[in-house]
Parts: sequence; structure tokens; C-alpha cells
Amino acid sequence: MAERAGIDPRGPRFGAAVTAVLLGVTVVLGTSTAATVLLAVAAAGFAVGAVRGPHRTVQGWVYRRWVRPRLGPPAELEDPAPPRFAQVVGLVVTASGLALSPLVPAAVPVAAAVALVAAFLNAAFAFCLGCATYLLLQRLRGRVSGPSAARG
Amino acid sequence: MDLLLGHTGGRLLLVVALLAVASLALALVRRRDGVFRADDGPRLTAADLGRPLGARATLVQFSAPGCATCPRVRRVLAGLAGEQSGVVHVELDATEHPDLVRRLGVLRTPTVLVLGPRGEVRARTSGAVDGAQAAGALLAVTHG
Repeated sequence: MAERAGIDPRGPRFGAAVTAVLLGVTVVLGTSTAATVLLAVAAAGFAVGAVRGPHRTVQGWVYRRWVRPRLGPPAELEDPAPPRFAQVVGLVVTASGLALSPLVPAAVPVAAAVALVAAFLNAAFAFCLGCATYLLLQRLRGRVSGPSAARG
Repeated sequence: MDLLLGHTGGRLLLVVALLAVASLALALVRRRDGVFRADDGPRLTAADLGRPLGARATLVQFSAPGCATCPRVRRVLAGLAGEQSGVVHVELDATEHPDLVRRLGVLRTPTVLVLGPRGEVRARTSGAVDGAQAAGALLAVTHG
């Protein structure tokens, strides 16, 4: 694989830190209306990242405007495809929580907790859980659409 | 359960516990990063890899688009292959080789296999690999 034009990997990590704080507060607020609103904000953030890329979110803008100038240049650049895919995973998780919340109120804190773990691991340890599932989902998809699959 | 989840304090405690468990789980996974384990897996051919095997050893690296540690591991392994005659580094995109990935049970990227001269899998590891770890594994295969 050739080295492609990439993004500063610290950008998505900073974004994940902001998202983790938001989701942490969401979990603590439990099943209240405020929690649902905060989860919707997080979902909207993931939607922007999924559509426009992780570096073109609000957090990405804050990072470039205020944080990046205080740091040195990045050691290496990162392909934006996996962090973008991770944003899609985050969107699916948080949107599912919102969609289920009228039936199961606990869906809000549970979805927020799942997304929180992923965002926290990314921010604190540069581990992208969504990126790791990229390969697993690809394998799953290959199995489903492969010739050996009896049924979808 | 209600005692824990019904109160703000309980939920805060739960968040802290959740993050602690997640950190611990990640630390356990990462402790094994780059540690090569002996393996007598299947034999891979030049046709499998789409490239000729090294005369002494082949370093096969499975990467994925946007995997953050893959470029670093590529530099380590390509450097090693460049220094030693008969050693070849082959990097494969895991998403483009689903059959190989399934056959070899590759779950993460990067996963690195060290093949002997006949293409037999001799050692493997996953995660970040440093120069000393890779050189050690290579030495065990070429001199073992």
C-alpha cells in the first residue's frame, strides 16, 4: 500500500476526547431528557464526521484553530478512511440508542456507554476500536457475500 | 442494580469502572504486541502472495487501509529485508485478501508472519513490532 495523503492523527484523537466527555456526561445523566439531547448532539457530531471526514467536524475545526498551532508538526500522517469509518460506527451506535429510547429508555445510557468506551480508548491510548472492527466487518461481509454462504 | 443506576453517583461510579476495565483489556492486548510466537501454520506459495518468496525468509505483513501502526511496521520490516540478502518483505492489504485472512486466522492489523525458505509459516505476531523484535524472530527462522 502506498502512503496516501493523510491527516494529522492527533486531530481525531482530540475530537474523540471532546466526544468522550460529552458521552460520559450523557451516561451520568441516565434516562433524563438532557441525556437524550446530549446523545443527539454526539450523534450529530458523528454524522458530520461520517459524511465530511473526521477532520472536518466541529472538533476538527477547534483542533486546527486552537490546538494544532500549539503543537509541533505531526510525526506522521494518517489515512482518513478508518477514522471516518469509526465515525460511521459511532453514528450507528448513538442513533440506535436514540431510535430505541421511546421504547427502552435505558437505550440512551447504554448506547452512550458503548460509544464512550470507543472514544475514550481512542483519546487516551490512540486505539481506534472502530478501525479495528473495519477488518472484522470486512471479513463478515466477505463471508456473507462469498460463494460459501448458503444464506445471507 | 437500581441502587447503582438510579443515582447520579452510581452512574458516575459505573462510568469510571467501565473505563478502567476497557483500559485494562487494551493493556492486556497490547502486552502481546510484537511478541513473536512460534507457529507451524500452513505453507504459503508465491502464488498466494503474488510475489516470489525470499530465499531464506519472507516477512508477510497484513495491513488495512488507515491502520495507524501499519506504516511504522512496514518501515521496520522493509528496512530489515533491505539489510539482509534472501529476506523479502511482502505487505498485503487484508481487505483485498479475504481468503488468506480466513485461512491464516488474521484478526487484527498489522499481523506479521515469518515464513521459512519453503514458505512455511514459522512465527507470527500482531500489533506494533519494533526492529529488535523483528530481527530476533528473523534470526530464529534463518538460523533455527
